[in-house]
Order: sequence, then C-alpha cells, then structure tokens
Amino acid sequence: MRYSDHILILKIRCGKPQEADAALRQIRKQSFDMICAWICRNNGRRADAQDIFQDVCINLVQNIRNNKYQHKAKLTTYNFRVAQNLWFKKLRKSGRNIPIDTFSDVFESPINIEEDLIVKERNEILHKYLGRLSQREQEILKLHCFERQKMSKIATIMGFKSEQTAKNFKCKAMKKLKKLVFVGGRSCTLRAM
Amino acid sequence: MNCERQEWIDSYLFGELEGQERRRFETQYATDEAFRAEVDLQAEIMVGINSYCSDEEKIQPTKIISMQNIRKIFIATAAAIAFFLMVQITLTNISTPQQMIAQQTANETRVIKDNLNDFEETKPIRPRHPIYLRLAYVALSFS
Repeated sequence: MRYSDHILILKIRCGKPQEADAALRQIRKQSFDMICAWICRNNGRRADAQDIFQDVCINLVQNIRNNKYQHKAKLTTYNFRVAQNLWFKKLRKSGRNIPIDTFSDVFESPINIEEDLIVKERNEILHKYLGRLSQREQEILKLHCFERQKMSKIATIMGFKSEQTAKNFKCKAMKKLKKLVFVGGRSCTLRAM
Repeated sequence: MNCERQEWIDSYLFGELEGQERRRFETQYATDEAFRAEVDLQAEIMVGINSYCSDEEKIQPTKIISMQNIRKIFIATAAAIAFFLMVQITLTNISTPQQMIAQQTANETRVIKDNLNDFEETKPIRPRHPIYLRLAYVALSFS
C-alpha cells in the first residue's frame, strides 16, 4: 500500500520500529533510483549512492524525531536535496573534481517544482489557520498532536470537567481547522492548476 | 465526521492500533477513496501542527535565552566592577612589610622634622626696633 508523505512522516515519528521500517522502505522505493541515477551521472557508483542514501535516511529520521523537519516540499525532493549536498561534500573531501555539468544538473533535477510549491503553500495555509484558532484550541491541539499527551492528562492540565469534555473540545477544534484548511487548500490547488 | 472516527484515525496515525483493528483500518484505507482523503488530510494537519509547534518552540527559547543572556551579562559586569573596586580598596589598605617599614621610617622622619621645626619656632627671635630708633642709632654713630 502506498501512503502519503504525511503518513510516512507520522509513521517515522510515532510509529513502532516495524512501521518506521515500512515507511523507510517506501521512501527508498520513491527516492533511491532518482538519487542513484544522479550520483552515477556525477562521478559516482551505485555503492556510493547506497552509502549516501543511508546517510539521507539517518538524517531524515533524526530530523523528524527531533522536531527539526519542516514539511516544505515533497519527501522525494527533500531526500534528493540532502543527497546532493552530501555528495558534493564527499567529492570535496575526497579531492575529486566536481564536474561543471553538476551545477546545471542541480537546476535540471528530476523534481517537480509545482508540486513542491503546492506542498509549501498548503503548509503555510495550515500555519496561518492554526494561528487563527483560539488560544485554548491551539493549546489542546498542541498537547494532543505535538506533545502526545493522553486525553485524561489534557483534561487535568486544561481544567476540563472530564476526559470526554476534553475529547469533544479537541474534536471541535480539529473539525474547525480541517474545514479552514480544506477550503484554503482547495483554493491553493486550483490556483496552481 | 464524528469524533469516534477521528479518534480512530488518530490512534492509527500515532501507531496505537494493533492486530485486527489495524488490518481493518488498512483495508478501508486501501479501498475507500473518501476515507483515504480523510486520513491524508488529518495526517497533513498533524504534521502541520508539529511543524507549527516546533517553529514556536524554536522562537520562544531564543527569546528567553537572549533575555537571560542580557541579565547574565549585566550581573557579570556589575559583579566584576564590584570585585575590582573591592580589590582596589583592600590593596590600598593592606601593605607589605617593606611598605610598613618605609611608612614607619617616613613617620619617624616626619616627627624629627616636626621637632626641628618646633625647635626653630621656639628659638628667640631678635626683637626688631622701630624705624625711628634705628635712624637715631645711625645718626649717633655718624656723630
């Protein structure tokens, strides 16, 4: 089954090791060939590509788990860019020349810029609407999604009468946000078309 | 979408669903297009919330750190100045044995000088005669 980028990120962030493995396998399927082809065109071999891809995966997992990852482009783009940087760094260290074509290749990479722009814009829209929610709504979503607190604890922290009241409040906040993002996101996608 | 369904999706995305329930979810995700869109949207929102919160966390600590830094720098500077002043005061008060001897000798010389001055002050001063007496004396000597 093919999952969206967001689900893959969440699987790496919160999932069990097997789920994270499955997510990384899908990421490999999506990105490895592209990275390997690019490295082979730029003074590298398949073994180099494998090394680089391993580093890319480590970087991705660490960034997601340390909350440093910002979803501003598709995962394939992110991985491709990280791989490019790592490969340039490796070439520089080993003293091998960077072919002049490489620089033009950066701009002619097999990345869909339009799709990346949509991802970036949707992310910005989401941030904008999150900022428009009330302080309490923001707090409950933060406690639930970011800090991953249990509903019973959230109820105590935020002073709700019961766990159920907290659940209902969170549900309402989420619905409100979804509605805003759905409308805003649709307009963004239409503009891109 | 009702709350239970949202909870169900949440628990899948947090990796809390297991066994039969998990398989049921995945089958529905693979077959039901609308459900798939719903799950994707919820996942997108959750990733967005995470990045929003991590952004906020990145901004807030820097603010606090910068304020703390200013306070620290201020306190450190004040402490350094106070320390410097204290050291200077104590150094002027405390003197080494050589300095003490030199000071004692200086005191003694001062006492001697004072005594000498006193002596000079106490020696008899020759009385000065008035001018008419002196003139009379000069006239007498010529005559």
